[in-house]
Amino acid sequence: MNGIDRWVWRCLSGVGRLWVMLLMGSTWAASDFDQARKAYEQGNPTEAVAGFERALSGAPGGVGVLYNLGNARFRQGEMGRALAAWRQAEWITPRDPALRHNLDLIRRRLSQAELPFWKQWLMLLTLDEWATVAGVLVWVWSGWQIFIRIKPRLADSGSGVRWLLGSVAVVAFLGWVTAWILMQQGPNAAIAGKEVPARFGPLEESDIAVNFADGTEVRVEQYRNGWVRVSDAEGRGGWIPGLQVARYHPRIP
Amino acid sequence: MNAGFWFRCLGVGALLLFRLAAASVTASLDRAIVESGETVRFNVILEGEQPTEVPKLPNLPMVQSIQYLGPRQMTQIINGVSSYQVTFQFQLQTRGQGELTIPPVTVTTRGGAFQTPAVSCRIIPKEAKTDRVSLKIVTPRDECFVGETLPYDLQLYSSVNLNQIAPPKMSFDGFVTGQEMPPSNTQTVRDGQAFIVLSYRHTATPIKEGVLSLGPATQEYVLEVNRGRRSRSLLDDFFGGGAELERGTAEAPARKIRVKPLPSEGRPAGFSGAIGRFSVKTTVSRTNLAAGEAITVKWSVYGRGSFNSVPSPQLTALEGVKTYAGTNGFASEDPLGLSGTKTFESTVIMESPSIKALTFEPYSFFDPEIGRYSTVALRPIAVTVRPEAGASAPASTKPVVAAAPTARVADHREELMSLSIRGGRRVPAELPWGRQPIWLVVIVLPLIGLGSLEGWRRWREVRQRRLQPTRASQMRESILSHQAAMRAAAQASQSGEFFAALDVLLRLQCAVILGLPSGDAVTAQVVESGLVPKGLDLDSAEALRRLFAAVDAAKFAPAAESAELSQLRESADAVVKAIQVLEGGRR
Repeated sequence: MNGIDRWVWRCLSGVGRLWVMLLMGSTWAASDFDQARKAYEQGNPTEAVAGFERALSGAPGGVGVLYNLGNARFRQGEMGRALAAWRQAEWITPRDPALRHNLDLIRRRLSQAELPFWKQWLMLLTLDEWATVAGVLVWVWSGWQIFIRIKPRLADSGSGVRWLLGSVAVVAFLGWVTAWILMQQGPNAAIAGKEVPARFGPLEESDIAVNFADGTEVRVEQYRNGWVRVSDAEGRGGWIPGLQVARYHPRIP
Repeated sequence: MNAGFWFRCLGVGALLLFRLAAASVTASLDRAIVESGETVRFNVILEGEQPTEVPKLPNLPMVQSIQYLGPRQMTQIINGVSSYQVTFQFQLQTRGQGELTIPPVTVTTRGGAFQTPAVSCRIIPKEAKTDRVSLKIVTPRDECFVGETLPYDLQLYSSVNLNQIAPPKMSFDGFVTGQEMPPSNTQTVRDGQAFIVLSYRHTATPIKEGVLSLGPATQEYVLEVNRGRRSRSLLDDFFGGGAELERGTAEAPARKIRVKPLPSEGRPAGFSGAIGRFSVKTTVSRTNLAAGEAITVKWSVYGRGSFNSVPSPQLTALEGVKTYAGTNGFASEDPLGLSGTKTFESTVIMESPSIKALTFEPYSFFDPEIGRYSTVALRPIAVTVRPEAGASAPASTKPVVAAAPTARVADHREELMSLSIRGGRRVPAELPWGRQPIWLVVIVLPLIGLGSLEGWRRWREVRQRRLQPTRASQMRESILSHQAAMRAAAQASQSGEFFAALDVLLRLQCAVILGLPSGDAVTAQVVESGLVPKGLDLDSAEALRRLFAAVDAAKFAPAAESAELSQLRESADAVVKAIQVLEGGRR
């Protein structure tokens, strides 16, 4: 076996090992997933939560697991964590009717105001989808405009379609920018606790600034020693222990 | 300016900020109770900053004179961190009696101005002449109310060096002793004589009314007496020689305190013994709860007074509200425990959803400074009590019938949708790429290209428009020169030069009126295609055609008679004039 053969053999065996690991991981995760579903249907949401969380960290770790985790949390009475799981799933499959239904349900349960029409409309697409649609439309419209400047005799052809395309491109672009601002500035976590006091400082001894109800959507602004500084849509906020906040995405700023 | 410059600026700024943040100023008086006529030390302590001048004290009503004793500087290095402290020492000669309050004093430093907090002490009337060593019990006043905590000082005065002292012994009649502070050592001047003063601060609370005795007190001591045989040397100081020791006991007479009962008039119904001046803050652990769930109500009573007698605020008795007393605690703000915050916690269970708010009994206390009772009203706290315990929705018992593999069915609007049976799309660990700012560049890129193209086109048009009049004016000048050359050639009967000038003249004139950059492309065809449509009359058009024909013919046979040349010249002038009329109309 020469050097090249050895190198090819190593690559193949490495790929094989990786494949086996992935297969085993997915098998374990699928097993957790099914067991968690069973526990949920048997009326044991605590076990279901544990199973779905294991499945989420496993190989498939899909949006369906997130959705189910939200259901199990909801059954457990942990509204904030249920909302966080569903909101995270919403970023991936925003048009899933079951997910939309459950989100409407939890918002009613938490006595939260209904989302304004423009926000509901904006939530129909993910941020990536908005970016793609806006990008494609802007490129097509701009390309067309450039083409008719190179060939002026074609300026009169398809002017109506061009106007329509341009308008849709503007709407898509604005949609993407608004979705981007919402992600950067909007809530990125939910309060996970029955009545969580937000304090003026990151200490148990600090005075309470405001009490947040379970499931209140907040924006995490700052971290310090296991505490996070959060503020709600009305600008009220304070420091609360990090464990009492459920993030929508661990890396969302 | 490179990056290093900005980093240096940032560093200096951070250092300044740190210095400002680290700097602090405090002030203190060496005793809380001082006899009139004695001196008292007032210290202003500045930490973490360099002062630029000595602070100035204002005129004080109960101070006869102020003497600045100088600064005392101290630098400490602990774990590599240095701290700098400077103390400005003032000696105040007191007079009169009452509360001496020194208002905030401004300390100017390189980093800015700071203000000390206000400090105060009690000036009491001067007592009998002090011996070489004497012990005194001093109180801020000679009367108080039953249950009111009274601070007092036990002060040992000595005009000679004290070698040893024993702890003081004191007896009480009708008082309960409270907190005590470690003794402080200071100096004072009384009737022109310097004394060392050891001050012991205590509190005592009278438990009955009448004239009660605080004291007497005794304290044993050992003095170092220099008999004057010889002066003490440095070696004496080191080895302890050169002085005789003298043992003695200082005695302080009992101090009579008139203890008054709390007035019965104006006593609120809810008064339960709090003496002092207090405020109350109430918080609850939750305001949204299910019926039967427990919450914690916490009251913080803060202010100044006898905290031992401070009772807990109370909830108003309500149907369906059960209260269980919990823990309490006290956080003192001064060593004697006269000011601070006392907290009380109670566990409250609300059993009825009809309860909309927690209400509290008014909190009453007796304020000894004004000699009256006061009552503070506690604000009610709104609560939401849900009927059921636990917020989870009832589990669905209906089986899902004929569901597609990925479909989930809602039985009711208030029901959860059923579980997903698939893991679904992978949850990305990374952030959405659509939030990357580079995507904005990608989207805007074709718009930038389009804008650039459009801008370039507009620029070219503008440039051409600017160039056109210049070229036309050049052509007009050329027309005039060729017209003159044509006339001269006609007069001189030079047919070759005449037709050459005529040719150029006609072409240029047509080019100007047609907006062409030059006359090269002009032929007889333009008469029909360009000039007649622009309004050239038919006679002039015919004359122009004839002139073009004559020019073409002259290329083969340039010789012509002088009369013919004059006729052609006149015709050319008329045609040029007619075309120029068109040009004027166009303008």
